[in-house]
Formats: sequence, C-alpha cells, structure tokens
Amino acid sequence: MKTQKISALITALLLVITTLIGNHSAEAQSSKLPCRIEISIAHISKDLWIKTGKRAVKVDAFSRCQSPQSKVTLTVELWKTGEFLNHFVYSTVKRSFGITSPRDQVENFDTYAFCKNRETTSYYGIAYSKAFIDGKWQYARHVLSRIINPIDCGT
Amino acid sequence: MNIDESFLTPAQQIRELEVMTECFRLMQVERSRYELQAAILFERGSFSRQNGNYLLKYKIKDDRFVWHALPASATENSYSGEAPIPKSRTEQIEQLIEFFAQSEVGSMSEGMPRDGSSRYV
Repeated sequence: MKTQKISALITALLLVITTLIGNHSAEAQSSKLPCRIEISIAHISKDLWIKTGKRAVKVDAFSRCQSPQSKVTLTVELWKTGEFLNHFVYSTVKRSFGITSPRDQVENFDTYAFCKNRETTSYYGIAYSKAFIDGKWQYARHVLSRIINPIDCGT
Repeated sequence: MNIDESFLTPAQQIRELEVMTECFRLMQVERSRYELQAAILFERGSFSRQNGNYLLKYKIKDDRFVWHALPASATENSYSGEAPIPKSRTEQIEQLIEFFAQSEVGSMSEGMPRDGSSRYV
C-alpha cells in the first residue's frame, strides 16, 4: 500500500514537471520572444556507425535571435529515461565570443555519448541559453526534444 | 526512424563525423595517457593541461566530472562539459577516457590543436 502511494506520488510529480517543461518549450519557441532555440531528437550518428562500427547517441541544438546577440551561452544536455527518475548522461556548454547577427545562429553540435551495449534506452535532449541583447541579459528557457526516442544504445 | 532526427546540413554532418571519429580514435590511441590523467584527477580532485591554444581544466564537482576549455585569446569561444560519475572505479576510468577525448575534440573545427603539444599545470 505504502509502495503504491509512493509510486503514485512520483508519477504525479513527473507529470507536473513534464507539463512545466512543455510550457517552457512552447514559450522558448514563440515568435514573440527575441530568441529561439531548436534541439534535435536524440539519434544514433549513422555516419560514425558506418565509418567506424562504433555507435553513439547524439543531440544537436542551435539558438537564433531576432536582434544581434552577444556573449551567447548555449547549453545542451543529453538525458535518458528511468523507471522512476530520469538520468543525466552528458552536457556541453558553448560560450560564443563576439556578436552574432540575426542571420546567424549559435550552434552546439558536440553533445554525444558512445554506446556501451545494445540495451534499448529512451533518450532526449534539453537546451537552454542566455545572451546579451539590447543592453540586457535574455534567457531562453529549457526546450525539450520533440520526441523521446528509444534507441538500441546503452550508456 | 524517418523523422528529422538531426537538422545538420551536409557540411555540418561532415564536421560531426570528423569530430566523433577523432574522439573515437583518441579513446583508443591515447588510452594510456587518459588512464594516467584519470589517476591524477582521482588523486588531486582537479588538474589542468595546456592543449595548443586552449587550457583544459578538469575537476570533480559533487557527483560529476567537469571540463572547461579556456582559450588563450579573449577573442575565441570557450567550451565546457559535464558527465556523471559512475559507481565503480572501472566504470569511472572508462567514463573518463571518453570524457578526456570529448574535451580534446570539443572545439576541433575552431582551431584546437590535437598534436600532443600539451603540458600539465
């Protein structure tokens, strides 16, 4: 009975967290906001697999703003789902020097982990950024991969 | 899966392949050096090494391994990465081998040399 209550509580908490993250995602991609982040679905790098026989799971993200942005920090995190809690796998941060024009984007394509086995695991990415725009710091809230993807890749 | 897993352009895909192939190569070729670095990190909790134009700083922070790549010039980009610390020592060393390689190729396309011209600080 106690276990069922704990399980129900954890599920409720996860739903609340997922909803909050979903709202952040929608906000960050809104055209009203000065910056937009996009993050890919977690995927196996096929070219690496073909060339080396080694498999790696990867997420990519970029940030683009409507105004010139400077001091851009773009963070990308790779996560895998767990029975009760999700697990952090790897994260990278790119701190871009100088000014990025509205035509250009700041990219972070360096977040990946090599597979240790073929265990099916569900992965997703999270990206967020901050930048100095129009004289003040702007924060793009967390954006989640559109799909949580099961992949034959244990890490 | 047919959905858009990655939105990289062909040029970016080539760069991605180069970076990850180099990372995999380093994990094999530099394994002995990385094992030595892992021992240093476990003993000291942190260390730095110069790698071309970048100072690579490594440390153990709470339950994570952390690296920072700091450029010599203030006009270059900087990078960092974090990975969870596994429970067993064997897993920790394997994690660090991948971690060190990732840190060294972290800014590969933007001029970070990987010629072994490094020194510990």
